[in-house]
Amino acid sequence: MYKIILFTFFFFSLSAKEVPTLTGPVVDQANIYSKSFVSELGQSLRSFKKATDAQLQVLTIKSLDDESLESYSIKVVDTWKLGENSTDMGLLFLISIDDRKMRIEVGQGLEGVITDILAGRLIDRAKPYFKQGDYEGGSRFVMTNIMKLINGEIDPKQIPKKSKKQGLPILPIAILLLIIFGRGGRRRSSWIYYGGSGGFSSGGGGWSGGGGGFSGGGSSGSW
Amino acid sequence: MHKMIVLISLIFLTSCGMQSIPTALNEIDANWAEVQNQYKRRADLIPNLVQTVKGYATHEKETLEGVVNARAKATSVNLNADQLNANTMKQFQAAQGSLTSALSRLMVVVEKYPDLKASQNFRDLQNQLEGTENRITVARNRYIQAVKQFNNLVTVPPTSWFNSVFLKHDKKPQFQVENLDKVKEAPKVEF
Repeated sequence: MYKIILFTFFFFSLSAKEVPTLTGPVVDQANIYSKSFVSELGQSLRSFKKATDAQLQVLTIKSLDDESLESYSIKVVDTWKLGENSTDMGLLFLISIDDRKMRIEVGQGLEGVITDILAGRLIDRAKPYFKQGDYEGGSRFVMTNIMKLINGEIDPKQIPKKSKKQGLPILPIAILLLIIFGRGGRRRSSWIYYGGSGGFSSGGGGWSGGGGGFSGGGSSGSW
Repeated sequence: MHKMIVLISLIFLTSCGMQSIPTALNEIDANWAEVQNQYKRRADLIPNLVQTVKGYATHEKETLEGVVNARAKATSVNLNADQLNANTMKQFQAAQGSLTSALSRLMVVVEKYPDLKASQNFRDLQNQLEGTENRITVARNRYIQAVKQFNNLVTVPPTSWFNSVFLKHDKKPQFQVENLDKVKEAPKVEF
């Protein structure tokens, strides 16, 4: 029995990387975003929370310090408790720059909409952005599509499929996707969609978790 | 004055374990249910996975059969929270553990079939499997925490006195660690 208790202590001392303070919808510890991007995305996530109750969060870190991505991610959401207690609609997009890893951690209330499959596809599709070092583009891609999925605005099937072997349809699909996602993706215009409700320029009031529960759903990937 | 007595006895009773021990027990129930739930989720994914792999990997009958058999075994071991003891826990872990290793053998074999790996269907299944393995890890960790708390209550005074006189609960079994790395990190499906 001592062994077990010892192990439990050992286990928890292993996961030592600290969880940063929740200062806003975008916590950019790794410093990969421009100021304007942080405020744009932040505003958009704040108004999305107002409209839908879903609390979406971005966290970038420099390195995981040898902790596993999944265990750090669940520790962050357990600390921050994103989403309301009653609906559990929280979600974390975690990016670790030096490890070249990212994860979408999905709260229990969103698991039905953002299934592991969809989270996995989003990650797969975001990889090219991150490979090119376009962190803002990749994060924008992930977060806008998550918002659209939650709002039921895009059919999950519209999430780009990345199949290499099916020769024919790839090009048309790519073009179509470029039209669908690329249009909003590159320029500011995409944010007008959720961020345009004026009077939010001050960055909004407090941003804190409401007790949302997570059980490890989502998907991880590396680029 | 009466109020004072009621208040003091209330404080005494709540700190003696009358309340905290059953609460901790319920916590274990809930966490154990979640552990089983997630293992079941994994078992539910397997028929689809086997079917998909079969379509591409025609020479891997043995490995696939290994998975199917391990699954059958794993799903046959079901435990309620009140049936938990060191012995039943061992059985449960052994059954689930052999399914875990059968699955990782399958994932190694899959490396030989680039067509399979490239198919969206398989990629999706892989995502689901990884997600489920991660959920299992999370559920197990929460169970470990809940058991730790409960075991402290029933073994450490003063709550243990109340337990040994009235409730007489035994300690609940922990997950035994076969391999520390495995528990520390979700069993990763390599690809």
